Amino acid sequence: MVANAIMVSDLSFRYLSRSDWALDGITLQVLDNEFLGITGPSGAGKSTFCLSLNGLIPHVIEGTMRGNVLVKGLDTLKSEVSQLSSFVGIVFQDPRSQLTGSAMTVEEEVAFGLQNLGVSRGAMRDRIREALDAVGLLGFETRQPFELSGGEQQRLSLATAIAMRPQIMVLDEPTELLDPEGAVSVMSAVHSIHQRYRMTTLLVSNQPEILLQYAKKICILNKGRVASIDSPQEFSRKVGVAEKLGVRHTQVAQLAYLLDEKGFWSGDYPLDERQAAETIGRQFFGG
Amino acid sequence: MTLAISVENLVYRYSNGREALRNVSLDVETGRTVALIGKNGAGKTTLAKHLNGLLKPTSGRVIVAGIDASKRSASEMARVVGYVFQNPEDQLFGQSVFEEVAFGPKNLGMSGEEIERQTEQALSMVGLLSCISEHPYDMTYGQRKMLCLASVLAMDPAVVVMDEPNAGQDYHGMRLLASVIDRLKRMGKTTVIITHDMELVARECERAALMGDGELIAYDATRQVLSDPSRLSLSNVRPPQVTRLAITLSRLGVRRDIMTVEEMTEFLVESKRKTA
Repeated sequence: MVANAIMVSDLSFRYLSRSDWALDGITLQVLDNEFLGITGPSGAGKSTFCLSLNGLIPHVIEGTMRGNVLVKGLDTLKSEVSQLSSFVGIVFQDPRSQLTGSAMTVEEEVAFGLQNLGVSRGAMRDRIREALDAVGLLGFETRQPFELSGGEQQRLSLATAIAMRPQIMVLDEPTELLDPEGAVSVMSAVHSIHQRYRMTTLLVSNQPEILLQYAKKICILNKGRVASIDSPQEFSRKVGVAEKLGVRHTQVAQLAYLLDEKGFWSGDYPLDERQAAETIGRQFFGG
Repeated sequence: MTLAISVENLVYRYSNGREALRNVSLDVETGRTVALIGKNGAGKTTLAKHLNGLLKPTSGRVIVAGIDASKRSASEMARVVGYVFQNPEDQLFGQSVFEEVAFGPKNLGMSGEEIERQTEQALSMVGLLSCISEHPYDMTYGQRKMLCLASVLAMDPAVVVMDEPNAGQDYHGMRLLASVIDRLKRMGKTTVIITHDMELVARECERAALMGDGELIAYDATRQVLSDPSRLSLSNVRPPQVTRLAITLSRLGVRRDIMTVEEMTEFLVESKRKTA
């Protein structure tokens, strides 16, 4: 039987300074070892939702919370952030907010969290190497974290999370500052680590190409609520819905949608350009 | 055509001796929208910071709107070059949205009435007029980026430089950004956009400069630059998805340099008509 890594029941949250609810009745289950993609317009509650998974909401960020979040069976309301953080890793959107500030080198930055976990020195070296390799920062060990470019800092905060091998990895737009091939290679490394360590992974992204490539299910959040949870195949057909909600979609899905409207498309919508090329080759060029 | 930007043999070396820019030369005609693309650390932001005098060349020349940027301070250059930083926290300081945007026009010595007009116009361009009395830190990341853009627009500079304006923007934010860029075009402004978003480049930029390791690898019409995947790959860039599709389909007679979904739709529908 597959257990739930995360169970969210009717979760609502209102920030102290706001009158509106950032999250407004979210119910959602994430299975162990699942790769869930989350997308949605600005202000949909994506980042707020991430913060509620390791207890930062409600324990650190002030506001009013209703409903429940169970992470690996632990109720976040009754558990401490430090306890939850030992198995939930979060990579925030702004990498600078994540740097410890005390580490003088990239290596120390990654080591920091491992020391807190009590990892032995030998194992630590392996883990640091694996994590830096995954994000393409081998050779950066002695560089200063605050001197890195935005994209490099984003890679570093991913590496610190990867090194800790959390059972649940929460990534809030982790590749936004990376160059296009860099984003692809970092995400493929995240995906292989997700498989190697059977890491439950939640990826918040406004890059539909990446979501369709890696996520098993894609959730659209809108106005603090779950608008839909779909398989990639179902999501690929939601071009009209995405546009209405203000969610970006892939160019190949948009193409299929436009051709479909004109009666020139039949069958599934493509998940990537390879599938698009196959269908178009068959339907337009008879080969 | 007059030149809004003329960069000649620009070299920039850090104090540790590392060369961030190696002999970069590039001209931008007035009124053009140009993309700066390339991998992380290629030197895009370093080049852009020379345009408003934030960085001074180790050697070479940078002329913007007829002014030698290497000889003027960043605050003098701010009158002609508006710079929208990658990270809004590097730019924002005001206690309210109004105060934030009004700061520039105030500094330029505009009258109270003008300040108000410029501020409101800039905020309405980026869709934030309704937030005029809010605190910038209560806004989302995407909104704060738009606020930075507004504070630059309010100064009505001849040249606008945007460093990754699309980061943190959702679909509506992207549409809004595109409409601001279109508006700047109609106003005859020269715009330089640093971005990793090739869909934005394909739609909005007439020319694209591909940078890699401090050098200018290519500078040409966007269509030429984006339809050459092996050259783009030298600096970790991929063509837009629809262009990659076009290149794959080129063996069947599809044009390799299709850049937008609309172009591809039109091409395929037309080819269907021809065979029918």
